[in-house]
This record gives sequence, C-alpha cells and structure tokens, in this order.
Amino acid sequence: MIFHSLFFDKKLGLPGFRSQRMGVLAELSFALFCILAGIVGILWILIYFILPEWEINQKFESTTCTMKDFRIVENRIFPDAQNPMEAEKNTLFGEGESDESEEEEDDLEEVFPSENEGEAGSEKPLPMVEGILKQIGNVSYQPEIFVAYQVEGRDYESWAYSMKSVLDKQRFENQKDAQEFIEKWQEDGCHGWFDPEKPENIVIFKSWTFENYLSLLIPISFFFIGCGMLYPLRRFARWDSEEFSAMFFGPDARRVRKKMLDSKSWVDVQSEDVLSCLPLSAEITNCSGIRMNYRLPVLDSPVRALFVLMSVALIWNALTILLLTIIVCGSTPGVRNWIWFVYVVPFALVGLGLVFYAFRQIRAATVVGPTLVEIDRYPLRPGESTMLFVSQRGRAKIFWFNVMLVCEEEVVFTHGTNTRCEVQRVFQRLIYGEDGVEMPSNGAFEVEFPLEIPPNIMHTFVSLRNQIYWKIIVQVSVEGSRPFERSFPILIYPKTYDVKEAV
Amino acid sequence: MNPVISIQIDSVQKYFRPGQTLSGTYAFVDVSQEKMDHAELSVLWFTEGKGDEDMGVHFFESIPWGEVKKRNFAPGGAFNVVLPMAPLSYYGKVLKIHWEVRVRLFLKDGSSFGESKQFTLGDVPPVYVVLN
Repeated sequence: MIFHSLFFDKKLGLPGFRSQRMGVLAELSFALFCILAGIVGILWILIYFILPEWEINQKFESTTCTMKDFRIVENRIFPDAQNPMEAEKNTLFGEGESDESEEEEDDLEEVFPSENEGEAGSEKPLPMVEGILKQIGNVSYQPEIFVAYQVEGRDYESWAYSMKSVLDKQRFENQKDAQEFIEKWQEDGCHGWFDPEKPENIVIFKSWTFENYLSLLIPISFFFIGCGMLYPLRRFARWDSEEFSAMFFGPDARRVRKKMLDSKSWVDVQSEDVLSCLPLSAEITNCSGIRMNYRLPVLDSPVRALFVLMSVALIWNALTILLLTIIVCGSTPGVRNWIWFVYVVPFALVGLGLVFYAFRQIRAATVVGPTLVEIDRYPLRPGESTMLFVSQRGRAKIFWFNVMLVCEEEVVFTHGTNTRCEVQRVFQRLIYGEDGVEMPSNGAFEVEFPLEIPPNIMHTFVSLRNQIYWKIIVQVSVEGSRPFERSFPILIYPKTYDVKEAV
Repeated sequence: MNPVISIQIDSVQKYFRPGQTLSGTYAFVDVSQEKMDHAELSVLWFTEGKGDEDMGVHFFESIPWGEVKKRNFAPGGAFNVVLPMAPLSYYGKVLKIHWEVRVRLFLKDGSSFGESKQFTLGDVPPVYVVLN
C-alpha cells in the first residue's frame, strides 16, 4: 500500500480552499492571530488595569491631606473638532479655598454652561455616532483635588484623584455626583494614598475592580481557542506524524523525550517498563480499606452530581427572579409587561422543576446511603482472582443487590464542530446478586466474595481520545427510591507473557 | 515513477508477545539517488474506529540517506525492536488498536512516500459483546 504524504487524510483545512496547503495556512494564520490577540489582551489588561490598581491597594501608604483647591474635569469621548485638546480635557470650574463650600454650590449653576452651549460652534458628530454616544454617555466628569500632604516631614502638593489607567470606571455621569464625591471625601477625613517610592504620586480614591479580572476571560479564551486550533494542524507540519507525535503528543512522549535528553540508545529505552497507555494506579491504591487492602474510589459521586444540580437550580431561579423583578419594577407600563410575563412563565416552570428534581435527588441520596467497595490486591491481570468486599449503608429495605464486572470502550470524536463521546459496553458479568436483603441492625449490608478476572481479555487502556476501562458496578434497589448504580474503577494490567514460549 | 517501499517482518508467527523482538528489513525500489533526502522508520500503535485517532510511537529512527545501506536488490535497512508490554492489539466494537511498522521516504522536494506493515501484539481475541 503506497500513499502520498499523509497516512490518514482527515477533513481538515477550510472547506472553501481547493488547496489543502492554503486551507491549512489560512487556519494557521487565524490560530496565530487568536493566540497573539490573546497574549496582547492579557498583557494590556494586566499592565494598564490590574497592576496599577494592585499597586495602589498593596503598595501605596495612607496619609491625611488638606484640600487647597478642586476642579471638575469634563471628558468627552467625541472631542470638539475645532479645539480637540481643549475638548478632551475641559476644566469646568475650580475653587481657591476648600472652606467656601456654600459659594461653590452657588457657583455651580453659573460656571457650568449647558451642554448645548458648550458645543456651540463645534462640529457635530455624525447622527449615527451621536446616537451611540448618547446611549453610552459622551460626557463624563472627574473630580480632581489639589491636596497638600506631608511625607517624612517634607511637604508635597499635587492635583489628585486616581491613577489614569484605572479612571474609566470612576468617572461620574453628571457634575453633581462629582461634586458630592468631593464633599464626601472631605467628610470622611481627607484620606489619600501616596507611592512611598515617589511621594509626589498620590491618589484620593482607590478600589478593587472585579470587572478587570473578569475581562481577562476574553483574551484568555482567544489564547486557548488559538492553541486548540493549532493542535489538529500539527499533522501538517514538516516534522509531523511519527517524529512529532513521538516527541510531543504521543502517550510515549515522555519516554521519547527522556531518551533524547539522556542520549540513551533505543534498546535501553525500550527496556524501561513504562506503560504510558495505562493510568497510574496511585489513585486507586492511595486509600487503604478496612476489611481489604485498598478502597476503590467511586466514579460519578452523588455528592458532585447533587452539587452541580443544586447550583444549576439556584442560578436558574436567581436569573428568573431577576428577570421578574426587572419586569415588575420596569418603567414601561401597559400591556407589554403582560407579554413579558408570559415569556417568563416557561423559565419559572423549569426553575420549579429543577428545585423539585434536586430535592428528590437529595432524598434519594440520603435514603440509600454510601457504598464502599474494597479490593484485596493490586495490580490485577487477566486470569487472576482476588477478594472483593462491598458494603451498603442505609435505613431502607433492599429489594435486590447486584455487583457486576464491566468493561466499556469510550471514544471521543469530532463531528463537524461538535465533540462527541460514545460509550460501548463490551463486557458485563454478574459476580454477586442477592434478592430481598434484610438490613442488619447496624445499618450496613456487607458482603465478601471472590472476583475472578477472565483470561484473554483486554487490559485497561487510556489514550487522549480513546479508552478501555474496567469497573465494578453496584446496583441496588431500595424501598422508597428508584434503583440506582454506583461505579468503582479497577485497573487491569496486561497479562504477563513468557517471551521464550513459542507462539 | 514513484518510489516503491517494501517491508518484510522476519517472523511468520500469528502474533508477537510483549517483550519479544520484532525484526525485519525494508527496501526502497525505483529510487533516484539524487532526489532522496532521508528515511524514517517507526514502530507504533494507533487507534481506529469511531473515535478520533490516537497514536503512540514506540520506536522512531530518522536515517540520513547516506546511512541507508545498499542491500541485496535495493537500498534499505533492517530493524530489531523489543516490543513493549502494552497496549496489546485489540479489535473491539467501536475501538481497535493496531500495531505496525512504518517506513517513510522523504524527497528533497519536500514530498514523502510511506508504507506500513501491520502485526499483532498479544493474543487478545476479537470482542464479542458479553452482557449477562
């Protein structure tokens, strides 16, 4: 069988490109753009928003200031065309002394020109831009105070508010709010925070802005999307396929890298018994049992499922209540509100359903009680046997109780833009079964029995997107609850072969 | 004319046991010496089935063209690889694991040609679903 370039052609590359090379190049460019945008975004947010704010909160030292003067600065998103510098930062008014607060209020109306007056003679923005600016607020107001303070006996004077890079959220929509900020600052004791390394840098306002950290999610998403797009493209690299997989992607990558680092010969490397396609047994053997040597961890624990279910129910209902509150308190009167109410009804019903289902699951979990499975020895290999101990706690009567040995194949595949997972059960054997179990007085049904691993079976196998795993499944039907099952993973190693034995 | 690659595994046994040595030879036919860059030999497993493909390289060797020996009838080489303990060859319902020897030939113009020869590691029988 001869094939050109690629062993397994997959539908990769943009479909609009006839040339696969061009398609890959386009995808690569887009992936690199995403990664670059992500990195630039992360750095920009860190340098201009998070770090300055962190510095103010952590590094700056507190002091008490004296107000010498103040002003309110007008900031326009769309500066006046005739005098853009003036328009961008337009000082509206200032006062010589801080104790003349009554006069300040009187002056407010005189000094503030109406917005229309301020824009007289200036070139107006396009109607569409004007509409957008009206929505988001073209003008904002920033109070600045001329403060005097002392650091280590030396006097300093400076105009202060907050750091420029963290200002945007701390501006005010109208002059009155800015004025109130100054008054409140005076009432609170005229606190300021200065940089101990450069005492002339002082701020009179500091805060933690949660949105800065939240906004990091956007560039981080870009970064990971770009990295994710690079992964399927690896097969088109010059050093693709075996060499590349061997070094970076294959399950044996660690072994191959070790070989390269240590300059070992391949014979030495092969002699190392590294079973990289098998999961580490530490997760199973790190918990000692009471009756047997090892207690098996439980898969799909009900606690985790309940937590997720409760969280979903809580968030869903909180959003529904929020939506209802907005509708009820909304300013739009009349018939349209009723339409919104009808719209919310399905959401409310789903929310109630979630709450009902969550409480039902909690009740089922508390009625049934925990299940413990312990195993006598590890590792297990085909054809070997060991002892198993199973304990089921709870108050309710058990109708039937089954323990099964199960093997499943799990594959992950991409279908279009979706990633799907399929599980196929290929082996299932009942290893213990009992009907009409009477619960002992101590509330724990306990049973011990041998577990025989069939010969000539596949061992546990784990790779990036494909798995073969073995597990013990305990199925219980109890009074007052629907039958349930709990899974406990076990590792089955490959059987040992006698190499000298003739095949 | 495209180069032809042939791979021969020495043993004719039905399957190999883990730890056993896999040995064989490979040869390149219809090869123009001037166009050749290098060859690659690998022994690897890969998955097949409904899921996306995974691959694990057990042995990899990049051979500069100058080191490719002139064998009986064509340039080529030999390999001796000790097979690992896992994963064993597997023929399941939605997942199969195959082992193979791959030889790839890279030309100076950037194109490449490949040939593979599958073999079975271990004696796990094909899966028939047992649910009882």
